[in-house]
Amino acid sequence: MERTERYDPEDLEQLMLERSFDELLEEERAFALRHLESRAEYERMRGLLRHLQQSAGSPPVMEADPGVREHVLEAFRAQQKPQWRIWLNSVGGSLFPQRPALYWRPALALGTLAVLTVTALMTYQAFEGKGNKQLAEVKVVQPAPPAPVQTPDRNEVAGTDDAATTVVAPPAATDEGARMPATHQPEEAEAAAPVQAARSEVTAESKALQETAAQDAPAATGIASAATDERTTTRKAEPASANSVDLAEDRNKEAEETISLKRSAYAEQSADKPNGTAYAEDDLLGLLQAAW
Amino acid sequence: MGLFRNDPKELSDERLMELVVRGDERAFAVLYDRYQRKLLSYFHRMLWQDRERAQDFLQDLFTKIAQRPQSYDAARPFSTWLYSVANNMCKNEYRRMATRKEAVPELRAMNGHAVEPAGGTELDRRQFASRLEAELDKLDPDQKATFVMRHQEDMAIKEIAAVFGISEGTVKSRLFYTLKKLAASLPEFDPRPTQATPATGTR
Repeated sequence: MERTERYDPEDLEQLMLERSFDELLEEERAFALRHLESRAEYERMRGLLRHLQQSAGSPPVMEADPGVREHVLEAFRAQQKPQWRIWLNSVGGSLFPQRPALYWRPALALGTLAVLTVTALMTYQAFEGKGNKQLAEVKVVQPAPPAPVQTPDRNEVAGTDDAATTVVAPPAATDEGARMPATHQPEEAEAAAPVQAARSEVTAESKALQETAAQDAPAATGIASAATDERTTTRKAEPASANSVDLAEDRNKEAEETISLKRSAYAEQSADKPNGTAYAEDDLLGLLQAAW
Repeated sequence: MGLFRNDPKELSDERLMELVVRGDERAFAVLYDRYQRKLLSYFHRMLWQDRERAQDFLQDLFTKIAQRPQSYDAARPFSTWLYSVANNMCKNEYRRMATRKEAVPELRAMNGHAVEPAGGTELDRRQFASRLEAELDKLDPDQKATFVMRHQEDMAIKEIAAVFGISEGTVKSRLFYTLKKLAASLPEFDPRPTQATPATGTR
């Protein structure tokens, strides 16, 4: 029975390493001689292979200098400086790994992130609810603020002269008495009596005029002039002495100065308010002067 | 944290390269430590036993990997890819040296390849290595590289074939004829004069 040869050069090497030419079987010798020229060549190659085996058994241990390692790592660090690019790369690489078996990693990471986010939101909402409750309690207890200081001055101006103003004023005499020095009070009471009477008349008239002015605004100026005439007539009819009248006029001037000072201060304060408010104040001043 | 991150030293070369592409310096350091001895030895053998030159080449090779880790073909085994890059570097160096023909004799003279003939099995290993390297330098670069990978780096035929991009049969044939040529050029290592019968058994 004829056998088919299946040797290749690698097999021939193995043959050389295992046996000398003399130890080969007949068919192995025939195979070797088909690839080699002679027995001598077989033995030379065998000798070389054995030397190579012995040399490979004790390879020289070579170690690179530490400086090479440092230099290489430094080059790597220098290359990684644009961090955002690497970060994007790593995000892509983490979310979409090349091997499908590694997809559990991004899934676990994203799941953990979702759980942490929900927990953080719930915790935040719980703390936020507590804070609102405390603020609500504080707001309920807070009392109403007191009336502003300027209000009596404005009312004083309105109650004294203005026929067309819409401000409802408390009694002007009360404020004036409160502001007068104590030493002048008897004389002033004496002088103020006719003035009070005249003012009450003017107030009554001004109410009537107010109703008319609401219907016909352009006629307001004329009505104010009429009120001024009426006031002048009332003054002439005062039975008080000349000194008392002078004293009353002085007080009125003082009051006007005080009013103008406070008005200017008020105008400064109301500078931040809407224009509509400033416009109403100007109208008020004009009507007051016309009525006076 | 073992669930998320393994010790890089336990990872495969290919996995480490994935990490290197993402900028992991530790993975890069592990790869360097894993291959620096082998590659230094390979360069040393391929580049006329010039240790300084071999170190330069080792540094150049890993600098290239650091600068362009994306050039690694993930479809190939890392060691195969690494050796193919190293082999190309050596071939480039041979070409460069061929243009400077005067440098090669100097190198050979510097390495002192002259060896006194000695009797077969008693030949000193170092002398044999030196003589063999001298003869290897005379070979074609591909033949030399194939021989070094097979007999000195102890790489498998399949790996060598992958490095060169050729069939395994071609690698075997190349190895056989290289060995034949070397045996002819190194007659001093013929063991026949002192040949003793090997202890290996017969079939």
